[in-house]
Amino acid sequence: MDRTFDIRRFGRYLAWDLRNARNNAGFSLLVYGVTPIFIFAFFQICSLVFNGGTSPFGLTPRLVCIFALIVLSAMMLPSRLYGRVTDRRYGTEFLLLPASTFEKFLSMIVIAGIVLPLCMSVLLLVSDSLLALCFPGLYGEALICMDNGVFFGLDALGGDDSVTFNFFLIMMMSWWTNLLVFILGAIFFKRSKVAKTILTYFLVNSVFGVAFSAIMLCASENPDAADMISSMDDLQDLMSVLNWMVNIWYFLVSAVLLGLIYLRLRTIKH
Amino acid sequence: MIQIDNLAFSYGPVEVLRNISMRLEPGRIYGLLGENGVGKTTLLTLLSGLKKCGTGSIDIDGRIPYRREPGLLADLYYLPDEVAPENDRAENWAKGKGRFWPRFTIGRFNEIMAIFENDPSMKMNTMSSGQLKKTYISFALACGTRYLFLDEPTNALDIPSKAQFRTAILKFTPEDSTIVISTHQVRDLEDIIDPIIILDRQDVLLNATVEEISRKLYFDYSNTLNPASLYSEQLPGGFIQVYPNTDGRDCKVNVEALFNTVHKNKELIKGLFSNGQNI
Repeated sequence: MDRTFDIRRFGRYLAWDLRNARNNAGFSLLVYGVTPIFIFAFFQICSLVFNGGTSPFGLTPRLVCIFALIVLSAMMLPSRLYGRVTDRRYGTEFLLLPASTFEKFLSMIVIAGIVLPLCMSVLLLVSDSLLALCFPGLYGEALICMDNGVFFGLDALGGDDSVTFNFFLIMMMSWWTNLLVFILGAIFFKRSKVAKTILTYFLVNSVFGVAFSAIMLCASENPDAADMISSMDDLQDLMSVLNWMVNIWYFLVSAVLLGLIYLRLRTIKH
Repeated sequence: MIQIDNLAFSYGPVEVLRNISMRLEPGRIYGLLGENGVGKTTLLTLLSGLKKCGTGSIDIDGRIPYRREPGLLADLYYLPDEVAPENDRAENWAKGKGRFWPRFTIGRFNEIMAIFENDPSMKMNTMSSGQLKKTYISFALACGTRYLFLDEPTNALDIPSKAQFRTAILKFTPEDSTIVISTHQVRDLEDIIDPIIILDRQDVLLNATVEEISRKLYFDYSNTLNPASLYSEQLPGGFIQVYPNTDGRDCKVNVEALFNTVHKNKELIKGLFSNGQNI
């Protein structure tokens, strides 16, 4: 057990890794987190210059801006945190630090997969709340104070409260799997990590997309499956099945990605 | 103790090490010499577990380095030729990282840094390459590991630092430690390395103690060439020449001349040292 996992050694390693993460990606994370403030300021300056006065920012641009920052940080920060593993100088240090590969892997997942999105969420919500507090008229209500299901809980579909779909969970799972994809890319590719990861991601998604479509097509032609679908006269039943399928899909994808990250760490050489 | 048996390693189709066997004993500072590309760095990375052996095996106290078990990693330190300029102050970096090596003390790190006249409060990414190297050497020695592998440690060091390095390595390494230093700068280290290992492409040409070498080879500085010399080189005012020590005279081993002698007389030297025979 001591060889694979020791809680004290893991705690020590996590503290060391967190310290490195702060040194190497702390400032970048902060910049991503406060970018909504800069975007809002830029928008108002442009509005002043071109319209002669300030303009309301609107909920849609706010959400688009936050979404874009989440996507961008999920793509860029993993390679900033762990891309150095493939560099001979830093990678040697990483591999020969006296902790097990499993502890290093776990620490990597905790930091890049949990701490990073948590810090990003907090920073974005703080920026959003600050803007809402300082400019309530122009910016609107803070996201955290909004009473809707977009962020917290099941969302009603098309105004019909009886049919719900868990967008929040899917958003979180998508964020998590994207982070895992970019962690894997960061420790797998030696150069152009983000570009190569995006390219590979698209290729793999295309293959799975085609395969999934083919399976669905075959299933719809299968009389048993067609009967099962037609028996779902309630839209909520269909949504539940879809929810389950999405959950299973994300679980499988996460398991495969975690396995690949561990395997890569186990076999990396310098 | 490190036991290497029939070790082979290739980079794709290019074979670097072949049929390497040797035993590295505790309490010694091995000098690993060889021409460029013979696999000195590769051997050190294999010893530290950064690479997996092609065929053959490396055994360090019954453990396989490539498994990178924390117990073994805490017992060894590998200092590569090129080191990373971390975004941290040297002392803070050493304090944080040193917690993984049980014998590391920050006091010892600061003491070695002081020998090198290096400032531990400096940020590592603002240091010159020499200062950075000295920081890593200080850390490596402060870890007090039983196995220390140093790849070209005196590269980038200035003249006073080379002497300080020799002082530090003799003062701060545990008596039972096995140290392997790979270097081309033989004059920087010839007073501290013993035994000497000379690697050739896919072979070990020599693995012998300085005492054994001086017993079998005579290093002569004179004005006249000896017809039996295996190697000679003109120096200002005479020659350095190496020939078989047939009458058991005492001499000081000149590592550079030894290296050239071995390379000019590979088979003869291998035979001379592998069988323990005398000429």
